[in-house]
Amino acid sequence: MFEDIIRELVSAHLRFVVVGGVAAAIQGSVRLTNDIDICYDTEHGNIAAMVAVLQRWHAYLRGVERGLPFILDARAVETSPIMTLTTDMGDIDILDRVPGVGDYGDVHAASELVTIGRTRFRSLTLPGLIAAKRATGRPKDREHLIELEALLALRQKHRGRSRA
Amino acid sequence: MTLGEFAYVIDAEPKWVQNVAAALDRPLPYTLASARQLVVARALNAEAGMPVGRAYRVAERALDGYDGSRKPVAVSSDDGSVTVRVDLYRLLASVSAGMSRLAVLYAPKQRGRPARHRNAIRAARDYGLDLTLLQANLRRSPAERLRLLDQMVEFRQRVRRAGHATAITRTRRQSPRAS
Repeated sequence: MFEDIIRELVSAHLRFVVVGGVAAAIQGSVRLTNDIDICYDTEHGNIAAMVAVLQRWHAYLRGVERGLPFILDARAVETSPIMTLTTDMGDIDILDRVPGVGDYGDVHAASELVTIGRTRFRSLTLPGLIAAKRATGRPKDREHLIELEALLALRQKHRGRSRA
Repeated sequence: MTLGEFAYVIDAEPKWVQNVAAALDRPLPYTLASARQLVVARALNAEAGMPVGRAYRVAERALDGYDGSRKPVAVSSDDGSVTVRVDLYRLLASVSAGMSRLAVLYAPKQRGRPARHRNAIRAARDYGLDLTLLQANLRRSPAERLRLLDQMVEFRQRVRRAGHATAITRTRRQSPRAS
């Protein structure tokens, strides 16, 4: 599901970083998530390519009834900071920035390359995820924060032991 | 909707919403209809320089006569001195996107900053997290972790679908048969 989504986004040559719950899982989180969050480069061509992919997947707004006025084109994405969508491939949230981290450039700088099979993509690192969770301040994010900070500490402890 | 939710839907600061209410000299109802009206009023204010209080009343009239057309429509001020073409469908679509964000993402911020724990591992254990699960997951590669997540999500979806199907069957069995 998420792997298929990432593969399709990569094969469409989109510039994006996986953030949110899927990025946390890639870093070692054991929490389940229902959707994939991506932060995208806001360059017009990249947005147009992303919109083409989302249209092909029959994207629609999530959590609201069908039939509401809805436009999915580059202009709509450019004027919406976040879009929460459901698609044939699964649920996806598209963000032009990540609270606590910044815009796409900052998110890219706080990400690392991940290789899965033949697919290479960028995913937010643990420090980036922690900064994002700290900034959001929702109760469920605070719970997740405890896990992410523990993961970072466990990883540092393991690296310390490896060096010794 | 609360003020915070209403402002979130129209992607505005709560203070701005309160300022509009002050300009109108009456409280704004925090409803979907009012959100749509305010988004149109904001566009009229930006495109025609119409004061937002006046624009709010013009927006009400424009939306009353709107037939759902996807083409921009002409909107005139009360005295007809100003007419602008407004893409009402696009503006209403932006409110739909806001309603979706509200349903999926919104939660009021908790007061204060999250605590910084000196010992994150102990804090996680005290919270009740199973550290052996985290340690086992850290031994996996990123690819293995993503595939595990995919498998778990797909399993949960199958269970939900099965539960849904069982509930439907049970309901059909319990309901009297149509003659």
